[in-house]
Amino acid sequence: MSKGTILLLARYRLLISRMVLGYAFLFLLVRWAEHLLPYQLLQPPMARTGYDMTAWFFKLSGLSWWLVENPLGAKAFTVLLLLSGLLAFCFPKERWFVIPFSIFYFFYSVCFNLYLTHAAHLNAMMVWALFACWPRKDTDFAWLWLGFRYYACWAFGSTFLMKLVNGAFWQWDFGLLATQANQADFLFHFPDTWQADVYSWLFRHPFLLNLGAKILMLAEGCFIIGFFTRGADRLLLVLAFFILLLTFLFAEVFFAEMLVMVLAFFPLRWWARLWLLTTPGSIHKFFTSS
Amino acid sequence: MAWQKTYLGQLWRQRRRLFWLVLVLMAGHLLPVFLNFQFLTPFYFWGMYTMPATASETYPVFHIRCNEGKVIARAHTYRDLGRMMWIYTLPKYEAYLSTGDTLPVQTVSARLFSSLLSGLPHSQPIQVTHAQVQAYPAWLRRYLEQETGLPVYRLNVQQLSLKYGTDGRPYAVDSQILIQYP
Repeated sequence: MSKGTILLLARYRLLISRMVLGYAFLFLLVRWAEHLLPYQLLQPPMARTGYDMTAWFFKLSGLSWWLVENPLGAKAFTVLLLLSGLLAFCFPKERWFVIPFSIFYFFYSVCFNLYLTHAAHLNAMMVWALFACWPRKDTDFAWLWLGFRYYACWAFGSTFLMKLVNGAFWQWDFGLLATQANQADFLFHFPDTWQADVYSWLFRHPFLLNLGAKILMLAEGCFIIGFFTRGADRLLLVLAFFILLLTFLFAEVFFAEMLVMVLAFFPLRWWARLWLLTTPGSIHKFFTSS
Repeated sequence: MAWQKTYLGQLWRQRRRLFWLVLVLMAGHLLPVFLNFQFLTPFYFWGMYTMPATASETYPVFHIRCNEGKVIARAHTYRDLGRMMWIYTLPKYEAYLSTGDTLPVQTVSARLFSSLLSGLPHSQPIQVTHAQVQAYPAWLRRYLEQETGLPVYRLNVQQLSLKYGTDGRPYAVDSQILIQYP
């Protein structure tokens, strides 16, 4: 990347940070509506750590008890999370708001996984996107933002490589078996829907499912290209949506929060346009620049 | 030199301190490989759906009914977050009920963590305890009350075993009651 790229990203820092922080705050509001904020978890009794040593620390130190299981602590933690999120969104370059919010968000993501009893990766991208907003200097932000782009490539690229190593890629009927396991609940509870008709038809004609699974894996593999060039960023941006759509339809997950990663693949020209659109007094420049 | 044109190469030349930070973060993501696939959030391990899928005869599904037989089932939609707390916890409850938490706590790292932190106020063991598992049905009832906005005075959760027929649709071949309240 050229020095110009760094300087331009540094210039758009306010806009990029605000979009990341806004996305994080928006999904906290969604989680509020869906009863998933700490105080809404209603002091859940089971907290599964699995092999996550950070989760061990949270349980053994009593931190998870203070943040979620203690009714007063859970309410205070929820207020802090929302308030710091709102302030960070309003003042994206104010590190006194951004850093505490990022830390609270990280604590929340650990606690959420603990009480969900599952090591979900829903918040992983957001945790690292928020971390990129920490630096004091705008140019340091630009460097970390480029680093976050590599992280996004790593997330999908490494899962593809693991599929090659562990064997999922080489199993032809992976698509059928995975979809049957994931859709059993839906087909049983909602048998009279058109979606149920489509899934049962696909189960009788598994070629499409198996082929689709391979296409999905190859789409993940495309993110390895991102390590070598930024020229494919628009393709990767589209593929991120494509992967989200396929996993939504067939893997019974909806990782919309992870889509914060697509911001890392925005071409500089898009940021320039958005910057002109959102900077006071720049609307005229926006219409005259093209 | 090609190295100097890379992200890390330029970081090395222009921002030495950031270079070391990024290098440490990159190393963090390789931790699971060296720690026998234990991991340290936020250094996540992106290994889901990487193992071959196993062909299963039957698939477990949980059927929740409350009060006068009202079925609690939310289809998978863009509002997926709203049903996560019972979709994910019910299978774990069933597993803990039958086998307990099988997480090995005699590893070096687990013993080290426990010896350092277990004396703190409100410290909890790494494994899920029997008492915590026993408290789950009461919590589920309260959570469903919050979710439905209705008092739940009767709760019945069945675990069904489904088998796919030749028509591509699943049929229940077995069922057992998992939770019965009161």
